Amino acid sequence: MLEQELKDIWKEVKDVWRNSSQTEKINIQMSSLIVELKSKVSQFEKDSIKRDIKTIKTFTSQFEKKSITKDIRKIKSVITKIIEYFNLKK
Amino acid sequence: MQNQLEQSFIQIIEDNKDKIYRICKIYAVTPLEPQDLFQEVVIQVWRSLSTFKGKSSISTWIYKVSLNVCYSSKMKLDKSNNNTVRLESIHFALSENTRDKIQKEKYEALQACISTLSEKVKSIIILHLEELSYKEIALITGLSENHIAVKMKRIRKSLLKCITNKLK
Repeated sequence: MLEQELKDIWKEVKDVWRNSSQTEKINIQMSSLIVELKSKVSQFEKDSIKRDIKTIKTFTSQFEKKSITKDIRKIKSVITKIIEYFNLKK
Repeated sequence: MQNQLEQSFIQIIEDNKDKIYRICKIYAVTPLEPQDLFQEVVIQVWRSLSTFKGKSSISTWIYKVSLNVCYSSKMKLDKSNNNTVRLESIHFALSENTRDKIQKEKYEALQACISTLSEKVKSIIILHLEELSYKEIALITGLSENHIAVKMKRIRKSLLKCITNKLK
């Protein structure tokens, strides 16, 4: 393709792009949008945080349970060793 | 202060709604509608406006937010996590200025060709079509101006080839 031909096609592509937002008219009621955003978005964020906390709690408690079990096992083993030690001394 | 922020928000949305919508249209893939993406961008602008530091122009910032939101909404949809807020105060009506069939075909060819590009290249071409300078594109994409200039030549050529083939 010739340089000029390419330039013309590219110009046309740009026009098509620019006009692509003209197919629909966007009507925004700004004052009610602000009210809506204030109520819905903050509520949405609260719900989202609640959901996250729930997920963290579930995973944390599961992790804690496992960690406690591990600690108890270690303590048990140490105590057993101490008892065995004293038994041998007798 | 809050009132000032609200006024800025209104002005920003009013001034930039067309460019936001153009970007949303490109990223909308069924079942995502451009209108859904538009709402997501508006919500994100509302959430982040107070953190806008003015390091770039508001227009550059809007492009960045729009591209990020559109891209991440698509990702969220892929993970079937579509918890969204529906805003009733935004309405879309078919414009009287409806394009003719040829214009529609041309747009569909452009959209189809852009959709085949990688995410990074897609954002470069969108910003170029929006007539942003290489410097501004570099600021938004995080790439160097040189890299964009080199890439742009190649992208433009392949995009034109793709569109011409589709319209044959």
